[in-house]
Amino acid sequence: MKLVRKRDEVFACTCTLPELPGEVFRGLPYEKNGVPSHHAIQMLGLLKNNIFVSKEDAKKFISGMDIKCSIEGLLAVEYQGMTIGKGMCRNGIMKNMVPKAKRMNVEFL
Amino acid sequence: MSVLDKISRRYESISEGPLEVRRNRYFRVNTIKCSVEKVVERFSVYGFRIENVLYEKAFTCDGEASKTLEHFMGHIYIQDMSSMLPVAAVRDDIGDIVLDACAAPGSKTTQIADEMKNSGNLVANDASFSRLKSLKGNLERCGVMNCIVISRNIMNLEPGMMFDTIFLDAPCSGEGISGAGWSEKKIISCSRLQKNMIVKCFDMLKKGGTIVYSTCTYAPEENEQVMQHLIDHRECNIEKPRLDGLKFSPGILEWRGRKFSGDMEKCTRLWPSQNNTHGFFLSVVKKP
Repeated sequence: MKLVRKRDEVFACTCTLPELPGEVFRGLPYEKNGVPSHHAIQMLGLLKNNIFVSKEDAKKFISGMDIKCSIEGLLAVEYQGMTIGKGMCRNGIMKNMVPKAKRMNVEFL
Repeated sequence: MSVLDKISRRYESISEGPLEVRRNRYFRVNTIKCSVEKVVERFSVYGFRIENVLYEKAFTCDGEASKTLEHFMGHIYIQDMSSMLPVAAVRDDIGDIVLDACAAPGSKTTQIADEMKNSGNLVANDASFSRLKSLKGNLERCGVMNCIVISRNIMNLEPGMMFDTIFLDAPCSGEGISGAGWSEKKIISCSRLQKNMIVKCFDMLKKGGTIVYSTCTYAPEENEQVMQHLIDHRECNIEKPRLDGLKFSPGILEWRGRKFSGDMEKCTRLWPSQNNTHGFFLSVVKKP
């Protein structure tokens, strides 16, 4: 896997072909402005600090709501051994960083 | 007369069973992110009844798989079984440089990436720039890292290389899915486009390479007639796809007075009533 920069975004990529005509992007979004992407965190971890959440909080988090949090900073959110996303914790509240298009109401988890 | 009635009447001499059936729900495990065993275990905890179909990663499910954590995580991909056929049929024979010629919204692209084990080079093209958003979303959710997304009219595509495998899920009149906007005129215009596309794709194939042609329509003009056009214009071999445990019909040899090559019997027609799926056509072609 190598990291490829395209403007302010970095992509994680395993392809070896040179740039193609009409190319839009390649690989998986890895980070933007130095912040690891939601998908890279799900796939590769990347964050040192994490928080383990309950079923109820996982549900809220996936639907896009903010949840309570006792640690400060950028954290990976873990549920049942899976990294489900990331959030920024400040003053006891974790700001949800699940991309809007990916948020959903999960009934089975 | 409804569109479905018109379509049913057009194909009453060749169809197997009714065209309108209650379809099963299918999903595929995305082994880039999760093992089949893990998904099976979790779905049994949810109380879903699932059954393996087609190949080891495909399942039918009686529950709402779209409301599971696995769907959110990209551990599964909800996809009709008919749409899984092109990749499943050649899964042991996918090369290192692969083109998905009409890729959006990405169901087949993510399936190909999974079969390539997220390595090698997968080029996903879609002429419509607006459809790339859904393609990007699905590639991201499934954790695909071996894909290069391009947006080009396939007829103007000059990639400067040849491909080992090309998947051409051609734009079609869509009779097998909804038939929205269906007309005889549309069939003819789609057929013309498909004939140009398949020859263009065939010319981008390496010697010994494979092209998988598919549509979600019943019209022989868009299926056997397109394959006949390729046979008439290029030296190629139609091969029987590997489709275990599936009910299907062979391609037809005659339509409205026009005869096709006997090789059409190696093509696959999937009628909705055979497996409770969408209608589908599939053909696997080798370049000698």
